Amino acid sequence: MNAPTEAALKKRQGRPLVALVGNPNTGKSTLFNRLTGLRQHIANYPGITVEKKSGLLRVGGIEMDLLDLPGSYSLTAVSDDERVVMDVLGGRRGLQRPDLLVFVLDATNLKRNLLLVSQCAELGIPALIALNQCDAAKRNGIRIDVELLAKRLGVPVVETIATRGNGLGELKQAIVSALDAPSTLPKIHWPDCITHGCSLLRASFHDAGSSDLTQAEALRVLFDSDSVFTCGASDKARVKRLLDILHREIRESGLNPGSAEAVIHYRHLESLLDGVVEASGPIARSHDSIDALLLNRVWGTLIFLGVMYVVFQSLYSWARPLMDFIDIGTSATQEVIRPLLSATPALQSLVCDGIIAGVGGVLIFLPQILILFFFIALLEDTGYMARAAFLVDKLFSWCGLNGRSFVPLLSSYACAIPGVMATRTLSDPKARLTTILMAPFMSCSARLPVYILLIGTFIEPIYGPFVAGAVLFVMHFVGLALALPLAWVLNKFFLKIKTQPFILEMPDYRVPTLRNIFQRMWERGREFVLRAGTVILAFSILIWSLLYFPRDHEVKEKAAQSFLAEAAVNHSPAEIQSALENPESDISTALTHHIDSIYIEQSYLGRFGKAVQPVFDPAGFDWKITIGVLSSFAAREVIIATMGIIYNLGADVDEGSYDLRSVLKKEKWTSGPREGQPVYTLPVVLGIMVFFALCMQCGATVAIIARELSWRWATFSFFGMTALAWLSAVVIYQVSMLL
Amino acid sequence: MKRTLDSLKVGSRSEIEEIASDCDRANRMATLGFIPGRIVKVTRLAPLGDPISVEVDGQEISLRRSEAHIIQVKNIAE
Repeated sequence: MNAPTEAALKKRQGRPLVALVGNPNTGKSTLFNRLTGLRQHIANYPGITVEKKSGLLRVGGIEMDLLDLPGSYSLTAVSDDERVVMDVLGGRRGLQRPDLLVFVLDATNLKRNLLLVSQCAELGIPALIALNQCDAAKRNGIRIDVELLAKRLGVPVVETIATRGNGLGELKQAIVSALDAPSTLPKIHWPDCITHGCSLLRASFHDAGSSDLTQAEALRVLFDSDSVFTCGASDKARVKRLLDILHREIRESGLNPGSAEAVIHYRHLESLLDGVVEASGPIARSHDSIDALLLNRVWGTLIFLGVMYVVFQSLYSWARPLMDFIDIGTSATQEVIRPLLSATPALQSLVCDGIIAGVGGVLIFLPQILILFFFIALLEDTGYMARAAFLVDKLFSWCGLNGRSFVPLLSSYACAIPGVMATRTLSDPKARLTTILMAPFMSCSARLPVYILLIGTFIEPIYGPFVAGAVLFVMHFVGLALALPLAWVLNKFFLKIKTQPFILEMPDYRVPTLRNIFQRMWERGREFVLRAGTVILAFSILIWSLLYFPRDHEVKEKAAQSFLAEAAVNHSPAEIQSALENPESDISTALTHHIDSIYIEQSYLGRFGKAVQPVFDPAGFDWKITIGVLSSFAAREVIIATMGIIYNLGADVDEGSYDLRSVLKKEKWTSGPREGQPVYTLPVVLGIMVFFALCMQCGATVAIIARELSWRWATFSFFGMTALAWLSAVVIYQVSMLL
Repeated sequence: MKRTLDSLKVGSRSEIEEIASDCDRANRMATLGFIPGRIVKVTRLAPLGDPISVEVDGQEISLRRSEAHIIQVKNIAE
C-alpha cells in the first residue's frame, strides 16, 4: 500500500462506505464473508423486512464499512422491499450513499450480470468489478478478456474465486485504490423519446411538489409498472396520465415499453462485450447430466423425498440428544442454585424457575436452528435448493406460496422457530410473509406431548390403538389443512403486496465449503440468541411472575389447614405429625402439591383463568383446563406441568404419567349445569387437541415473527390463530352436543 | 393464433417474438434475458407439470407457465 493513499483516506470524514452489488447466486455473500470475517452486523432496513448486512473491512491501516446489498437482477422497484437498493444507491430515506460500488459478477453469465451494472451507471457512483467464479467460467469454456473489459467499462476489473478466497488481496487493494482515484461507468445513450420522457416526469414531480426525482428514479417510473416512486407521487393520477402519453410515444418510435429498457441495455452490452467474451463452441454446462437425474419425474421426486426425510429426521430426532443435554444442564444449574437462595423463596423461584428456565428455554432451540441452517447452507451452496423448489412449486403456487416454502414449512413440523428463520431463503416478500404466517400452523414437536396425553388417556383405551394412531396422524395435518386455504384467502383478499414472478436460476452444482456453512450457522445462531432470545426470556419471566404472584402467606396457611383437616379423617394425629417431619413421606409430598395447586389457583394467571373461563365454556373447558391453556402461552409443553400442579401431582409429571391420566379420567364438574358429569368427554378432548393444533401458544414464535416481520404481524398472527383455535374448539363441542 | 412459450413441448426451440407489453411482469422478464430475437428452448417440466425450465442466452431459468404465457414465440422447431 502506498502512503499517500492511506493518508488521503484517513483524512475523510468517517469511514468510507463500500457496497457490494450484484445478482443473486453470484457468490456475493461469500465474498462479503471473506472480506469481513466475523466482524459483521445484521439488522433490518427501517420499516421493512429486508436484511441489512454490514461489516468492517480492514486493509492495512484503513477501515471501511462494507455493505452487502440484497441480490437483485435489476433496479426494478415495485415493492417496498425492492426499493432498498435504489434507496441506498440514491442516498434516500436517511441512508448513507456509498462511496464505491463493488459489482460482484458471475463470470459464467456475464451479459445478464452486466445489466444491473449498466443500470447503475446512471447513478454516477464510482465503481469497480469483481469478476467472480472465474474457475467455473473456464471450466465451461468461457474465455474473458479482462483487460479489454476493464477498458470498455472504464473501471478496474479484478478476477476472484470467492469460495476459495482467490483474488481477495487484489480486490482489497483495488478497493483502496478506487476510493483514492475513483472512476465511473459510462452512461448509456438513451433514445430521444426516453430522455424526453424522463425530463417530463422529473418536471412533473417537481411541479407537483413531490420530492424531486433523480434521473435513475425517473427511469424506474417510466419502465416499472407501478413503481414505488409512482406510488410516492403526490398526484398519482396525473403521473399515470403522463405515463400513458409517454408509453405511446415510446411505442410510436418502434419500441415496446414493457421490454424497451432491457432491449436497449442488452443492445449496448452486446457491443460492449464484442471481443471480450469468447465461448468455445456450444456452452457445455456441467450440470445437465446431474439434472437429468435430479429433476427426473420419478428419480428426482424420490431423491427429493429422501433428502427432505434426512433434513426432517435430523431436526426431529437427531437434535433430541443435544436438546436433552441442554435440558439436563438447565435442571442441573437450577439444582445447584436453588439451595443457595433458599433463604429468599421469591428470589429463588425468580432465578431458578424464571431466569434459568427462561435461558434454558431459549438455548433449547439452538440445536434445531444450527442443524437446519447447516442443511440449508449445504442445499443452497450445492445448488440443490433451486432444484427442490422447482420440483414442488406446483404444490404451493395455488395458495400464494412457492417452491421455496417447502423447507421452512417442513422444518416447522419440528419447530416453528427455525422454520420461520428459514424463510430468509424466499426472496419474494409476499410469499415469505405468507410462509411465515403459515409456519406456526404446522404441528410442531411441542404439541406431541399434549396429543399423546389426551389420545393415550381417552381414545386409545376406548377405541383401540388403530383409531388412536389414526387420530394422532390426523392431528398432524389439521394445521396444514387449514393453513393452505387460509394462505389462499389471505393472498386473494387481504395482502396488498404484489406477487413477483417465481423465477429460479438453475445454478451450477458446486462443492460447498465448510467455512461458508459454519459461518451461516454461526450467523443465525447468534442472531437468534441475541435478538429473539432476549424477548423469549422476557416472555418466560412474565409468565413465571403471573403464575407465582401474589404469594400470600395466608393462602399457604389456609391450604395447609384444610389439607390437614382432611388428612385427619383417615390418619391419627401422631401419624400425621411423624409424616410431616419426614419431607419424603406421602403426606408431606401431598401437602406440598396441594399448596402449590392452591398457589397457582390464587395466582394472577389462575385468577385470570377463572375469570375468562366463561369464554372457554362454550368449548366445554373448565377453569383448570383454561389455566392450563393460558399457562401454555409461554410454551405449549408447559401445560403438562401446569396440569400436574393443578391436579395436586406436582410439576414433575409427563405425558405418560399414570397418575395424571387417571386424575383426568376422574375429573368431574363441581358446579354449574354440568355438575357431576365428567369434564373430559370426547368432544372436549378433541376440542383441546384442535385448540392446541391451531393456537399460537408459543411466546418464542411470537418473538421470532416480530423479529422477522414486525410486532404488528406478530400480534395479528397471535390473535388470529387464537381466535381460530377457540372457534374450532367451540364448533367441535357445540356440534357434538347437538348430535 | 399467436403461440406463447408455455404452449411449447419439451425439447422445442423457438424465437422470442415479443413480450406482452401490458403486463406488469414484462420488464422483469425482459431484464432476465427474454427479449425479442433471442432463441429459447424448453428443457424440462417439473414433475407436476409446472414450472417449466427453459434455456435462453446460455442460461437455464425456471419459470411458471403463467409467466411463460406472456412471452410470444415464432419459428417454432418442435
